[in-house]
Amino acid sequence: MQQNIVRTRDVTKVYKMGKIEVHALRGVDLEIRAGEYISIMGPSGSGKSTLFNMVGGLDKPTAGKVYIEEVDVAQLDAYELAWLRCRKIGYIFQTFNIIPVMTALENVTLPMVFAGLTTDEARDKGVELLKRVGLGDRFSHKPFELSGGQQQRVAIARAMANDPSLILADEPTGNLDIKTGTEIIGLLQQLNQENGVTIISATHDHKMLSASNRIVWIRDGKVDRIEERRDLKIEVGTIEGEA
Amino acid sequence: MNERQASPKNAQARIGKQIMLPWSKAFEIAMRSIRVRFWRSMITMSSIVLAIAFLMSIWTSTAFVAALALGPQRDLDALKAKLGVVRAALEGRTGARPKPALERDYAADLAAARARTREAIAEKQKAIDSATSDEARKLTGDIQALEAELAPGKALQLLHDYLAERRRETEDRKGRLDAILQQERAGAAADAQAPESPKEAPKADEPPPARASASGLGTFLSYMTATDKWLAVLALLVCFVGIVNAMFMTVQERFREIGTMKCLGALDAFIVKIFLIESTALGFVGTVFGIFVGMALSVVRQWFVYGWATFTYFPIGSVAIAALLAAFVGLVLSAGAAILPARNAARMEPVEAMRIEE
Repeated sequence: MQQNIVRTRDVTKVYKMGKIEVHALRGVDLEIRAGEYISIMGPSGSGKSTLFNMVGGLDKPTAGKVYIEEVDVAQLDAYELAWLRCRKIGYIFQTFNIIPVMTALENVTLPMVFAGLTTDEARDKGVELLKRVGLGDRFSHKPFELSGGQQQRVAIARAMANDPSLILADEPTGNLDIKTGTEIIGLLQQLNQENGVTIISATHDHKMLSASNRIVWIRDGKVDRIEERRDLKIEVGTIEGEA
Repeated sequence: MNERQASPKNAQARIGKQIMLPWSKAFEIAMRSIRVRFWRSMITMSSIVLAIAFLMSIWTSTAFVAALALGPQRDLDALKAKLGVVRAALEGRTGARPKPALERDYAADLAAARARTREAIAEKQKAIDSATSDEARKLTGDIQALEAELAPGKALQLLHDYLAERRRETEDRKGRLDAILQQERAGAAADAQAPESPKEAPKADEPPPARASASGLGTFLSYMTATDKWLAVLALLVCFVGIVNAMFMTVQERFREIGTMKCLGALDAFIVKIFLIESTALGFVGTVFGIFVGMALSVVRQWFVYGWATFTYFPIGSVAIAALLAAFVGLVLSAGAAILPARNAARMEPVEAMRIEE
């Protein structure tokens, strides 16, 4: 049985910059089912990031409604939003956003601390997660001792810390080379298939296309088209010598 | 694996207990960020050290001046009282205390008196060896006279003479100190008369007259001149502004870190805690350093002016109170200075963390 994990109804967002109004989103209707891997794609300024923020509970729409697991996000207060971000949603960023003063393990266990796990439980779970993403031998390393791909893996492990039902990835491969990017996308796909986590990513990267169940194309603040993967014809070239 | 909330109301019931605001975690993060920006933290701390040192040195100086103004007088009063009692006993007045009682009560002074006499004897005995026969005879006579004083029956007389001598010494010292204190007050009054803001009420620039009953504790505050007060307030204000500025900069630098933590579910209160702890920790260490530096500088200065008398009348009580007050001021300052930047940090939107936009 597939429920809608995220649902938007006629979401509109208008930014007021002095006298100028910028219509970032003009009525977007979207339904994302649980367990999907969905990519939001579109050119710069199309409202892709704004839609992403709406869907992830990071911003409130000017008009329209956003439901995360049938809960209207606009009605939530600060505590409830924090709870949502802690327990239900994991975030992955283009710039990795790992806290530089903490080791990899501490980064991964930070959300668990907010959720109330004891230090021991948190540490065990953290080590498990890091092994899962392939960094079993790196947990006491600080971010500056890790490569970009490894930092993104730590970020993914952190996003999975409290077993969220939703992972939001904002250009996860934006700062990574082709090979590492493919690995990360593979990892995300693995999480999607094995754990049933819904993954919503906003991206330019065409390598993501083959991993997604559905692709939402945004243009000028409106949904241009939604495609299923089987309808796409993808040819992404690789360079000789890279995976 | 996941608990699905049936409705927002369910979530509400559990939320209050589940969002953790762990102090220990906030402390950890605050300490780490101080360590990472160590030298900048040290510079921020140095402003606290200087301001508190300044405050503390002013307070210590005024405590010393108060002690030096009041101390000798108290000693003199005590000596006069003792002397009066002993004299009455010697003159055999009615109502005078019996000799054995006096000897017991003033045993310490008696012992000191006897020690002095013995020292004098010892010195003269040493001198005899190198003296001519005439001098030797005179010295021997002196020694015999001194030894007679040590006879048990003469105890009260010895005590009387000793107390009289002590009184003379103390009066001497007081005379010298009074002269120096007068000079200082005249100088301070002259400074205070110099261009003051017109709204400054005509406060007494002269410290209040020595009160025999004043214990010195807490009266030192009234010995501060108006200039001192103004300077102290100014130093603290500058320090405050410095800390606020430094904290704002730190918040600005860490916008991504803060945004990320909010994405992980940190409440605003947690973010505020981190910055408050950071600032207060720096403030605490800085205050402790400042207190010691201020005290040390002040003691050195007093020693130069007043000599060893400073240690005779060391106002431990006043200095301790001054230290506690300075510690309180320092902590309040550093905690207060962090409030605005911390609230600024807490209000940051998590979207800031995702600021890389095309």
